[in-house]
Amino acid sequence: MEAGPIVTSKQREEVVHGVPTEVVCTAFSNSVLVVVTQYGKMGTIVYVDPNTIGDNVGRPSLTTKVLLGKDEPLVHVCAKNLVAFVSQEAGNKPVLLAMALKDKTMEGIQALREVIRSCQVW
Amino acid sequence: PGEPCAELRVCSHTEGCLRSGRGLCLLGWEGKSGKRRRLAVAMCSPRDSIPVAASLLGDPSDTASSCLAQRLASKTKKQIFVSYNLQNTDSNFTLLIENRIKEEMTAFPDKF
Repeated sequence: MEAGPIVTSKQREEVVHGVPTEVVCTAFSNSVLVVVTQYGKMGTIVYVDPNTIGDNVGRPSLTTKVLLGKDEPLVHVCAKNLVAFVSQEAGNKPVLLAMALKDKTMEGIQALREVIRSCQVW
Repeated sequence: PGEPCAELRVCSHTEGCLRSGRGLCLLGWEGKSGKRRRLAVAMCSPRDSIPVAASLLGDPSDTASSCLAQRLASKTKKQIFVSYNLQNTDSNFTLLIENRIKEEMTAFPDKF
């Protein structure tokens, strides 16, 4: 008897601002895995964890932790911008983000966010 | 002996998007709960015959993920990410799983 998949996954390939990009999103019961790559590599792995206490306007604040790769401020900024909405929409689940980006401009990140949104599994 | 593995499935997240030529591969091996609590990485080193491994997420004293990552890295010569989340720690069971993943790798080389 073939059971349904334990985890659901969606994948998309798109050219974002002239850069071929691939996105894979997988929903686990306690977290969401998002892979965004423009190099065909896993790149930097960041764990984005929502705090239960939250900020002053009632939204949970996000803690970013670089698990593997360069730990620099821009990585944290990109990670938060890319997947904050994923964590929120998934019901404040932590997000494991693997990103290898050529284009780290604001416009690039915004466009990538839309590609991630199109792979909604949460 | 193949029975327990029939209930499980190999979840490869590379989906062909990570070029094997770059030596990267991600494997998520999940139990029935579909939870990702642990993450380990392993890759071959020119200085050692045993691949180096590190635990990225979860309890570092739990070596199931890193051991599996090490063994797969040694076989494939690629960087391997493993998230192992099964209660059964019997070594025979782990071996069955490892063989099942290898089977999958042989059957679908483009996914890894």
